[in-house]
Amino acid sequence: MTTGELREPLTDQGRTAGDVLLDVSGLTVEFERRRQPPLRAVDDVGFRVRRGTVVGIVGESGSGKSMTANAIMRLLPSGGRIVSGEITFGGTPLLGLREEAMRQMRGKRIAMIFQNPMTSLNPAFTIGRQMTDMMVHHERLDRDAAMTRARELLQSVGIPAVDRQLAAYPHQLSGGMRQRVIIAMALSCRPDLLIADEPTTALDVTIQAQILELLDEIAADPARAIVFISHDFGVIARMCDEVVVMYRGKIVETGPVARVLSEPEHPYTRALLGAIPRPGQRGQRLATVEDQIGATQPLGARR
Amino acid sequence: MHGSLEVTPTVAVDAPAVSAESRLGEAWRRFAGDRLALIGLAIILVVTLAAIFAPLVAPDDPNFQYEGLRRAAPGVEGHLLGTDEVGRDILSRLIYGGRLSLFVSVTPTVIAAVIALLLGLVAGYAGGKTEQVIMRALDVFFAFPVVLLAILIAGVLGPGPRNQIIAIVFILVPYMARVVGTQVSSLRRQDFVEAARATGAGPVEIIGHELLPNVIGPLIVYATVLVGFMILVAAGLSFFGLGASPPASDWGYMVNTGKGTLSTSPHVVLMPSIMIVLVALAFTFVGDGLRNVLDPQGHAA
Repeated sequence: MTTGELREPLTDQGRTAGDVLLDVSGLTVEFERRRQPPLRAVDDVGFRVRRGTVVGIVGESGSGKSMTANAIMRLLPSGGRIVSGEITFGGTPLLGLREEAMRQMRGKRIAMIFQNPMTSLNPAFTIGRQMTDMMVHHERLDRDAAMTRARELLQSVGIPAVDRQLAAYPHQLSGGMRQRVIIAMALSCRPDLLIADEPTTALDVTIQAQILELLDEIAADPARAIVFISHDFGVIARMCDEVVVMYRGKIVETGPVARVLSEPEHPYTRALLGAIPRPGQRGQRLATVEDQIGATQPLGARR
Repeated sequence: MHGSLEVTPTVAVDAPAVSAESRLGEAWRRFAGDRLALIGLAIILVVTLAAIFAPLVAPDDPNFQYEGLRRAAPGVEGHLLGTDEVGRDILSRLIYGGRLSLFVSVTPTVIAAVIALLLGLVAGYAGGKTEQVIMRALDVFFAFPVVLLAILIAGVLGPGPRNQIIAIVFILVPYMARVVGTQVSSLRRQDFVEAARATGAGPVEIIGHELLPNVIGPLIVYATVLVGFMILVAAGLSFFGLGASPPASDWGYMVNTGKGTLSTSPHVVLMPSIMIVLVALAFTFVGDGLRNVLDPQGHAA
């Protein structure tokens, strides 16, 4: 169940794995339902994330990958609760923290990037204001220092004409630009762990490639780790050192990304890989997961 | 992106952002592009300034009765808009009456906006049972026609500007709270609120920083339009004798006192009526103009 088997310092992507930053074990999340037994969205999930590595969580919609991320942040949608399990982050058991202490963790030590850059920024404030607010809040910086920092951050994520972007409102930026801004904001308090929930899904392919490249650079920091959630094996293969395959709330397979992709052990992983269209298959009907292992009945889609 | 296993990095630069020009100038340009809004703003400014500086602006004492000059037509003996049934200068009475008419329409709208903001934010943010209780309680008010409800409340409380204001607050709160509530409950589900939570924001910060700034614009627009409507409602209440009591007067009451002689001296009713319609329209136009400026662009882009 753990990915700890990999002891070699050098990972599939040539990164150096450090000590364990995040240790999730036995995580189970349930949602209350009316006149029905609770829905088990995440079932006995466990994995480890070492510093300096990128761990991918892959699965279909409703497989529980986003809920796993939300559970780590302790930000489950209403009706959801963590029934059992442990989440240890940098030695601290997160589930034992008081809400106030957890709030200090969020944004400062664990940051999150969301799927849709078009709606992840507050439309009422300029980019500069949103970026500095966060630093003023968490790092107790003054406005000027925060603004300088924001400028540096935007430059580091490859945004041109930084001063103009700082004064702009979110609706004035393109999707790719916004996702860069969101990534810059996520990095602003130098978090140890970055959770990226489908960070490129809403972007077109060229922009997607640029954002992946940027995340790749961010992953180069040996002190940091990234949990990368995606339904796209191509993106997972490009980004991750290790991969966790989820199906109906459970982990079906886990291991170094090259191994899982080339010699999948579990039929579901094989089915998922079999459902990827390939050049040269032109004219043939694309095999779905259902074709290969029967109806899958996802437990429930994201909200 | 559903394609191959390999993703080839491509070099392409995103389109750089547009203007960083001064926000106020931009806002004014958008507002000024709407000619009706400009006309409305001019009317409101003139009427408001005239009301504030009534003693300086009014040509006459609004309560002085010119003996033998009752219901004089506009223009007669220097009375630009004529005189009323007891020989008072109508223009001066309109200017002084504006004080009360504007006061009893603007004040309750502002008070109602604050109450509605609190109710709507709490209901929309909390959701679930709290939202149901607040919203269903407000729904009761929707069962009554607005003007009838205002007359009912003012009638129960008794005449006078204070009760007129209370009555108008009562009829406005449900409408405004519903606007705020629905806005907030749709905002609450948006990613940027979730993102704020993920950066450690608590309920107070979420409400104050994420939700409030995004509902205040639409609320101001709505409130401005409603002021126009409330000018009519306030005039209606005064017309029925539920507003200003003599010798104080407002536009609605002026219509009332002139109604007996509508066929012989229509200008006594006509002048305050035109005033009511003009100012009510002006607020509606300005409200529409503000909509172009204040509604958040984020969703449309």
